[in-house]
Amino acid sequence: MTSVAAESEVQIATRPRRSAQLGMLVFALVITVASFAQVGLARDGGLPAGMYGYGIGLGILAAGAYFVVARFAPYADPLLLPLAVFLNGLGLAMIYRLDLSTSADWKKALQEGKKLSYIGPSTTGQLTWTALAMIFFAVTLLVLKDIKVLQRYMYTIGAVGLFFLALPGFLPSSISGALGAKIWIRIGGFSIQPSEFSKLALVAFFAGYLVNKRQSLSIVGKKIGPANLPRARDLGPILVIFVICLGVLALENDFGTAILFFGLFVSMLYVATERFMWVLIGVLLLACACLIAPEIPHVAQRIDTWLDPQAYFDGGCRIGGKIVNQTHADVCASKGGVYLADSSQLMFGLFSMGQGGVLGTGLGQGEPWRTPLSYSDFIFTSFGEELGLTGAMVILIVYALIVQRGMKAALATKDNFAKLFAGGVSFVFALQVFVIVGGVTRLIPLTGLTTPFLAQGGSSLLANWILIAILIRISDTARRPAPQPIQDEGMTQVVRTQ
Amino acid sequence: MNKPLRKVAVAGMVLLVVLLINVNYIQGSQADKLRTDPLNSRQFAQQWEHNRGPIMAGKVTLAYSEKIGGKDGKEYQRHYNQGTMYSPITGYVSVFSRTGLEAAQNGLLDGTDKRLALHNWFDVLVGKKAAGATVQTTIDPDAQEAAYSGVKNKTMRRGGAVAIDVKTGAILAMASFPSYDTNNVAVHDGTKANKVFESLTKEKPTPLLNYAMRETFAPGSSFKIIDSAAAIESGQYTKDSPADANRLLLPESGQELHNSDGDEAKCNGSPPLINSFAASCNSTFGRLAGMLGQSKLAEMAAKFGFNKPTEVENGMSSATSVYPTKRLGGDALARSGIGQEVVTASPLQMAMVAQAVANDGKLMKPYLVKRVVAQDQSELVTADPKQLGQPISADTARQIQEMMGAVVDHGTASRYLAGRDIAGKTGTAETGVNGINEDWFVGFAPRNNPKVAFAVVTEGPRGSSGAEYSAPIALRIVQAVH
Repeated sequence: MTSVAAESEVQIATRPRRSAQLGMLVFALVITVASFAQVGLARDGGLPAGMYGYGIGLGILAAGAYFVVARFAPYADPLLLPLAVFLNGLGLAMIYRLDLSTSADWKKALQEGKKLSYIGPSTTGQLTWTALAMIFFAVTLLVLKDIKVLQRYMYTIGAVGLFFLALPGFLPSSISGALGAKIWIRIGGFSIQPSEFSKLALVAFFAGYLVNKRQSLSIVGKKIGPANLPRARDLGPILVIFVICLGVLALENDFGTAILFFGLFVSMLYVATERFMWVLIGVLLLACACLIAPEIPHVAQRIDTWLDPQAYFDGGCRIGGKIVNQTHADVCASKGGVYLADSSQLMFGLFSMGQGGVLGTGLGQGEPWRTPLSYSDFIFTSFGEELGLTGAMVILIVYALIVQRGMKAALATKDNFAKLFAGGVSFVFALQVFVIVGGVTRLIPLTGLTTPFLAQGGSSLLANWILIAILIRISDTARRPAPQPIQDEGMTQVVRTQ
Repeated sequence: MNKPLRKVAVAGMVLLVVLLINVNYIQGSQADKLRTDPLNSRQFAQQWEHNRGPIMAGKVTLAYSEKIGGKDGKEYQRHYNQGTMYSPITGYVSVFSRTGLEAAQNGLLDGTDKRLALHNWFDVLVGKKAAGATVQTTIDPDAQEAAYSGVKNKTMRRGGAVAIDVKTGAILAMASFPSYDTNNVAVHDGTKANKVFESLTKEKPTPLLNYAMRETFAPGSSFKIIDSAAAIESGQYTKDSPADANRLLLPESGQELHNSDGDEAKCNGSPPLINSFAASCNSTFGRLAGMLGQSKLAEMAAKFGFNKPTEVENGMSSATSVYPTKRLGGDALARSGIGQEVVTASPLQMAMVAQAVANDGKLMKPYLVKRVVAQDQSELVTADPKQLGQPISADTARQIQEMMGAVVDHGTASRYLAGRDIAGKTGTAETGVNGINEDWFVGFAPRNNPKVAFAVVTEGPRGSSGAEYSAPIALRIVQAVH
């Protein structure tokens, strides 16, 4: 349990850092606008018309966010907002760069009456989502005066999270499926990926449940070897929900999210109970999962293409015990082979990063569009190509800073629910970056997850901005100076609360 | 809960550090490998944007880039000067692939090599493409001309010639026939390039193959150099040892191994080895092969470079010349001694044999790039001659040199080369296809203090010989070398 000594280790800044926040925010915006300018200069040979629009748009949004934070969470960590704006702006610039319809050539061709069709990156769409997401950010900060409110509704939140997580799995594929996974809900031209929100909801539920049951989870129910397991009635509900989550995700072929939930579950259980045993059990379960996973065809493909991508480049086909690459499914069938998988997207991403080298080709000067989904799942390799190793490292370090600021808020806050919540979301954030960036850089098998703040996609932006709002709320509460007595009237104290 | 929380924070940090390390690995150390991965089509799509540096032979420019504007105003066309003659050396850049020095030196030619980034750090910083470097080859243009026109005018089907600097291993000439104009495949239009490639692939024999090193031929009697080397190295023979030159009946079939290539009159009794060598007596060397045994011959051939490819420049390797290591019967062993049976050799391999003999036994690694110079005239690469080994002692080498001189003085090549300051060994092998013979001349010049080693192979009609078909070409090559 928490000792007083451990708490006092955490240094808490008790004064607002508004100017630091503002300075860094301006810096983040300058980089964003400069990126837009560079894209225009490199791609169309002039400052892009959209630069002012997008720059001003993002500037207004950031200014709004700044005032909300300065007014309603003045003691909050000054780094979180600028870091998020920086990533969001950089992502917009890359999407702008990949979005053909923002290019001068494209517009000229359209004016000349040429018919052009192109679906993919959309800058206006992403900017609209950014605006919506930052409004959600502000609303979250305004409404959620105290994070403990979430604890009160934890069962409701958990149920809603689970419902939305499971929904795409039960909807027909025409509504929910794409690229082998069933994780979307599409209505009209509008699509959301509910798992992004379910992730937050389930962190809230786990945090609430674990805080309530912390003491009873320590009561030993059964002893199996060296492991002291808690009583079934304490661990049971959370275990049931966990298994349901994994089952649903397996049904939807969403293994990236399954890994996130697994990491979330294990890390939060460990933090709540302070027993390392849970980590060991987690590793053991993971090892079992690694043994079973290759039996699932969808996963087996990912593992095979990860181990030897060359063999599956542009279509891998097994003909007489040998895997022949550059053989498409129809060609493969005509040769009497078995079509296995295609690793070209992964390879294109790696080629893209190789092209970038240390310094990169420069924004607008590379060819990141050669990689399919270069604006969403593979946006990291697009940055790797145009900003080089240097830019890729900056992005990773910014992610690391967000994670560490989140963890710092968790350490600083005295409320156990907030502590678990902030710790949980920060770790999951790191894990998500690891799974997607590790996937596209061939560190681990590729599973589709969004790259927080950078990738095109509304759900991810909304969820991540809400996450930042909650972290800001938690850090504000943690760093707010303790209420001071304003009058000494003997035994009675009048206390200023907010 | 802070204690476990700190550990989780560290775990989160470890995940991101692992990503950082991996990104450094990919973009820092693997970038070049990824850029030149054969599956990476980017390198071909983008190559026209590079102002590739020229490839030179002496003062002659073999390949250069010309700015042609194109759709983004930054396209370059690659031109080849006498592309047909120099195709085995320069290779080409096409929409689909790169070959020859264009491939081997690609990074330096197109300016993407790290060594150039250091010289052009300012350009790199402001995002300008680094200018390509100049690749200076070891080729002597006059020798190349003599080699190519010689082979082209004489051979009926295919042919190749290689000349090597005896002391360094620098390749002075490398000609291949049939050949093709590299300008035709360096077109930017993919459909056009595809058509050219298709028709070149259909031609038989295809001009796309470099017959000077990527193809092997039966070496015939020129392999007797290796027999002699093995015999003298064994210690049982010198060039003057008497060797049985009488009719040889093959041990298994009892058939005679004819002395078709040599002078029948000289191949009887037990003349000194040098005389049998000069007259190219199959009977002597077939017998010698049987006495030395397969393993000794295989060992000697391998020391000269047989049974493994020789890499001339990065990615430019020769076809493997073969002396069989699987056990041969008595007849086959005798025939292998006269360069028949399954023995095959590339012209480059036989030139290497001659080079080692002429260089007192020291075999040098053949190479094509003399130096690479950046645009600011700083030297990025300077050739560094490397010794591959010493297959024979200096004494053995000198004896074989003398034997090869005898071939010209009073042996098989005397009719065509008598009085010339050149030494060599003829070889004539029947292919059994359309009555075509492989006609070889392998040797060096001048006889004292040799400078140039060579191997020439042409294909002539039945009855043609290495002395008649290839020896005069070899003479013209060595005369052309400056």
